Amino acid sequence: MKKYMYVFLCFLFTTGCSAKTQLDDLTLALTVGLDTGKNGKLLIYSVSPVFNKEAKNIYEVIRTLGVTPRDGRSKANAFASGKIVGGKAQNIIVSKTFAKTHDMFSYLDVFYRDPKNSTTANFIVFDGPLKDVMYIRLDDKPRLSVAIRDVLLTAHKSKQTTKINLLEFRRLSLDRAQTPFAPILRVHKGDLIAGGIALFNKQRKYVGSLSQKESPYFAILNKNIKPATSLTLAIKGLTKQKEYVSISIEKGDFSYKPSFQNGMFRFDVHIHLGAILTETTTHIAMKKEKKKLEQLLAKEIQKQLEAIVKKMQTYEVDPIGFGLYARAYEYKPFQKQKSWSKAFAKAEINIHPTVEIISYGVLQ
Amino acid sequence: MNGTQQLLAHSLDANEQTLRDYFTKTPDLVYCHLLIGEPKKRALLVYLNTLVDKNSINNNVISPLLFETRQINTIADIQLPIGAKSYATIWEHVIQRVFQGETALFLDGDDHVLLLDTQGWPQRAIAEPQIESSLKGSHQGFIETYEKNIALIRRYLPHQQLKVETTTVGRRGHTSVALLYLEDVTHPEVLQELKDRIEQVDVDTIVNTGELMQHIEDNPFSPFPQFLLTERPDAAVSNLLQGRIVIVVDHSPSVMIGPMTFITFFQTVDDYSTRWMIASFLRLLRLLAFFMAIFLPSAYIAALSFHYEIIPLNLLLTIGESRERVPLPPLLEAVLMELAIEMLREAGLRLPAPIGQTVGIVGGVVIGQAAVQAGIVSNIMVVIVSLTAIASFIIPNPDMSESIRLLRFPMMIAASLFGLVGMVIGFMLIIGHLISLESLGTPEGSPFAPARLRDWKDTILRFPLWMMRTRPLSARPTQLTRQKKFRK
Repeated sequence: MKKYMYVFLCFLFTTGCSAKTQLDDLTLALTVGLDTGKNGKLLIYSVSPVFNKEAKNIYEVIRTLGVTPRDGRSKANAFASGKIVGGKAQNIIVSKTFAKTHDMFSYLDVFYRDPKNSTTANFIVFDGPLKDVMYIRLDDKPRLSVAIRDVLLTAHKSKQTTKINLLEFRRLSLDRAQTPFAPILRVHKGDLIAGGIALFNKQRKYVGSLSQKESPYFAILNKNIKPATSLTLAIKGLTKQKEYVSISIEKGDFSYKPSFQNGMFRFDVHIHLGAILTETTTHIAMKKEKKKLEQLLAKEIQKQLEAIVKKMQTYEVDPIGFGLYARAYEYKPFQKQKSWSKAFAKAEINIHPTVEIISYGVLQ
Repeated sequence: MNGTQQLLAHSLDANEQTLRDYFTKTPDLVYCHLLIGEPKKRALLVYLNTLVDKNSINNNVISPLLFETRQINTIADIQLPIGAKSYATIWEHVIQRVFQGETALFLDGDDHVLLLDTQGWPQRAIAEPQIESSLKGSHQGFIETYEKNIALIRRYLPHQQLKVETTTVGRRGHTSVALLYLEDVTHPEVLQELKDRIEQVDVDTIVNTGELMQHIEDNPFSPFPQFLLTERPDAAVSNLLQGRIVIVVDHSPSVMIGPMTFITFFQTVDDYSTRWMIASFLRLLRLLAFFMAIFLPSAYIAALSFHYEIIPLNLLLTIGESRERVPLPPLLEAVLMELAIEMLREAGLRLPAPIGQTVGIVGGVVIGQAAVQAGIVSNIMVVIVSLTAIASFIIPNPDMSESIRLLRFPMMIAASLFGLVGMVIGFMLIIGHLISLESLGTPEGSPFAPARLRDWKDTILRFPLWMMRTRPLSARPTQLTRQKKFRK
């Protein structure tokens, strides 16, 4: 018994009581927003839930002007109802104008450095000034932070945008062979919409974006087609008039073959997609015309994929990670490149998708 | 009168005088003077009429004696239609036996006394076990008469290797204690250890088996039981067959079984009569309940006081909303509710059944609804407390269940002081204590510590019966084979 008492007494001197963070005394910053403010300062928003029936709003938005996010938080603590903590942060939102002109890392540093902050928060680019989203009235939605997260996840699942957390963003930023990307959020007529993909260059600055329509193709190139990627394609050639065919891509086989010739990288990308035909606007005799339809679909997909790769090359960004293949299979020339982004912009990329219709539904 | 070791006298009058000196203020002691045999000889029948079967005395003792026509010279000449009889020459034996309901027959001129088994006292009929009810086991429970209890066990094991050793404990009570064991299975050292411990018990009396258990257990400072108390004969027999010793104490409807292991407190007889998949599922459920009962409230406190990050956001928002009006810190809230539940349980237990229901209703309404609506505690806390309570009730052994309920209070304090670290420290202390604990000198942590993989067949999962061919090593059985391989 005496032995146990000594052991217990030792524990009394360990830390504990002082590190206590009672949930009731905290203001949980679930969404943190960064925007450009006056005089080159930083406008910091923090959205936290309010648990009080008497309060009119179920969340509070605190806006402060500071030089860094931590500076802003210290200022915000002056008028928050509890100590602001970032351990449950769900979304880190930066405005597009802010992202265009600032290196993201200087401002995200606190989220990486302070272990009490969450690094799994979603990194989001907002198209417009942040006050549009921070003070939005969503009467038919849950708390703003949850709503943003849910909208983003749903859009990501249907491949209308993508998803990246702070940790992945950092990994992509630091990898020589890749560049980071982020989903785009915007407000349209009082509704939150997540769609499109923001592309960042090696300096972690926003350079351009892929539209919502291009997002599914980005997902395909990224080998991210699960659970299913839905496409509606306009094809000509079966009945001589424009017709729409919807397919849902269920599985894919990918092969990225890099090679280095004449001081230039070359990628042969073979993508074999297994798709379910979910909708057509005209009658197609599937038994006869299946092969032809598959070829038409493949051609259309190829067009789209080549377009977004072209776009990336003009922006000199490689969010897909072609550089990873180059580094793996052609290490010596890869190593010699001063900047992979420049080399990627010059690279020759051939994409050969094939489509196999594995099912065309319960109709003949 | 002192010196009850002294011998009886030859003279009946002297003997009667000794008796009258000893049994003062004993109105239920009957002195029945008889003249027996041809020629008539004086005899004295002495018994406590509250402890004897009067029919038996009238028909089997007095009546044959009255009609005795042979010549009676010594007490050995007396023939009576009673099977269990013995002779005594020392007063101490006579007095002790009379107090146990036997009848003493003194004959003039003989310094021997005939002791006749005429016991008959108020006793309960054999009934369904109250505490350990079971679905498939037998519906006979032990009662307060230890002979009957031994009989119940013998009915399962009519085998010459089932040995019964009796002794008495207590200076005043002379409580009969019987040790039952299978001689060819039980390890003699374990048996000797138990005998030594019982021999050393020097008390007034043993009122209940639980008292004897506390006098002989290995570690009285442990929160965990080291002997199993059961009121089920089938459980006793099942343990006998594993090489354990069953201790039957007179006056007590529960028998004590040792040596035990920690995991056996999570097993029931039903486990063996249910199909193995279901039994295994129930065992997993009980282990889960064990962890829930100890850790659930403390995990809640730790999460709310230190580690809000580990709660998923949606749950965090729910907790935040439900705690919105609660003025108490999590520890106080939890302790308050846990104490309320313990009080309800204790109140329900002690009250007679019809009033006991009222306690349940009052408790349910007050705690379940009013306290939440009044904003004293949160909904989540009510859910956690109820889950904890139910989890602790799943554990089949009441002793283990109670010790687990007790352990969660220090765990809650540790969690509120040090968060998850405190919980881990608490858990480590429990584990460390468990593996050092012994029951009758055998490790209580077996088969986990020391690890005996073969015995794991009957621990977390219950393997099919035909696979469990050996007895568990924890009780150090001397004969391991339980069954032959007869099923392919």
